[in-house]
Amino acid sequence: MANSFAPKPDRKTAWVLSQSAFRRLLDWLDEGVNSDGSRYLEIRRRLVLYFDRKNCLTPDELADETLNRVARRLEEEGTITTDAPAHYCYIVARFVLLEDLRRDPQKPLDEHVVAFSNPTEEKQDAERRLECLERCMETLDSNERSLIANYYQGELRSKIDNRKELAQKLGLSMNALSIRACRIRAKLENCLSKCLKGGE
Amino acid sequence: MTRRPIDEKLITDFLLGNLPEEEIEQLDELSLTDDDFVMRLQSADNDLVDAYVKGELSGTTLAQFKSNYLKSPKRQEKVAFAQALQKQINKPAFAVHRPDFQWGFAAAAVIILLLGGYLIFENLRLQNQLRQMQAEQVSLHQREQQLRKQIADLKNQPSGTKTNEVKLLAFVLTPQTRGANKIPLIHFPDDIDLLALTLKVETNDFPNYTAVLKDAAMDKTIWRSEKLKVQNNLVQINVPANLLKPQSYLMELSGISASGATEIISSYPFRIATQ
Repeated sequence: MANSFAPKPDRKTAWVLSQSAFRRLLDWLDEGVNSDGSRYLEIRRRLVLYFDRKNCLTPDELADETLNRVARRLEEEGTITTDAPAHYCYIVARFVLLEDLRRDPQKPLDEHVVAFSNPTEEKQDAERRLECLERCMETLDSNERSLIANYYQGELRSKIDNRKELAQKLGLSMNALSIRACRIRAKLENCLSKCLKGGE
Repeated sequence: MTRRPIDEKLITDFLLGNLPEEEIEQLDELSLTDDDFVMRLQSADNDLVDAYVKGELSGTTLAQFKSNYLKSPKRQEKVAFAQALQKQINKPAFAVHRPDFQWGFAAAAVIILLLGGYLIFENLRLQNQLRQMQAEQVSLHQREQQLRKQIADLKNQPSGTKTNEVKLLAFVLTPQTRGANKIPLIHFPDDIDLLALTLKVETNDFPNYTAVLKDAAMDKTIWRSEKLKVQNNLVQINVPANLLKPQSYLMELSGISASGATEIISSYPFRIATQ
């Protein structure tokens, strides 16, 4: 099976993701339940995190490259039934990673360890970030704001006790509470990122 | 190779790049394919970054965080976000307010008023909760009666229509928690046509829901429901019995937002045993 994912340089450069191929990819990832593209975005987010953990210089581009290859395979074969969509994407991602490492065996991020800017710029960035976060906090409803403030309060043991208490108070399991806190935090991170780019 | 249990420590080591290659590969795979692991990874990642920001990391963990985790600009940005979040939630607006001594009496009066208000509110909340639980009980009872009637009706059909008889087995499942809960065991007679599951949900934040049945060992999707609704914190699902065999399963319930985005809400593990 491995050979089917191996690079095919002559076709790779020629192939362009068409609208119909993209549509087919979205449908296949949805596995029968229309998610309006959110399943695609979630798989892409996971791929970006995968390549980022591998210290690749361009995790976003590699995630797109992975999904393009899957889309190309889908267009050629009509469908893929050998693996579940997420698992198939993982297999392709491993090949994309190997190729990337082969292109640049030095793992370039090793040379860019913690490249912070100068202290003045750093301070300005931190202030801007705080302003943006404050604005983003205001976009949350009061329940969400209260949950995130309480969930991340405390240190070490007291933090764990605090979360148990909070879960009990809200009538949620620890798992459901953690999922909810993660969801709100991700919302804030997205909002902050947009705000820092001047979008909000 | 035998797989170690996936706990917080293992996930943290994974994030710090502190595991053998084989284990890293296994967890990498789960980070793409297993929705539950993805959530746990995200939560552990947030906690790790927060611990660094609060100065709670030390020794090897701190060294690995600096040398491995902070390599990537995306992860540096996560740290910067965590620093800002800590500052934000430690602001006086979020902190517990301690009144000055000279305002003691006024503060005490306010506290008594607030406490009174809180007690009234709490009382109302508890009454509401009680009503909701009663409604849930009624709904479960109604559902049971409905299923019993359905079965009885089918049994009472003339023998000529016997071929259309549908046999149901009803079962109520509660969400999986992080603790080592015992997995519910469903004893399954051979002649059952449908498994009627009632899933208890903790919240109702989405207009629609969908459920996916997975083979727990293989993490393979076996069946997917149509769009579902939550009523009185319960979701009703009918699974064709011919898909089920004696083994462990996981029913994953996802919320579908107005924009169509899906998000996993809860997992319901169960085991099937034949009678």
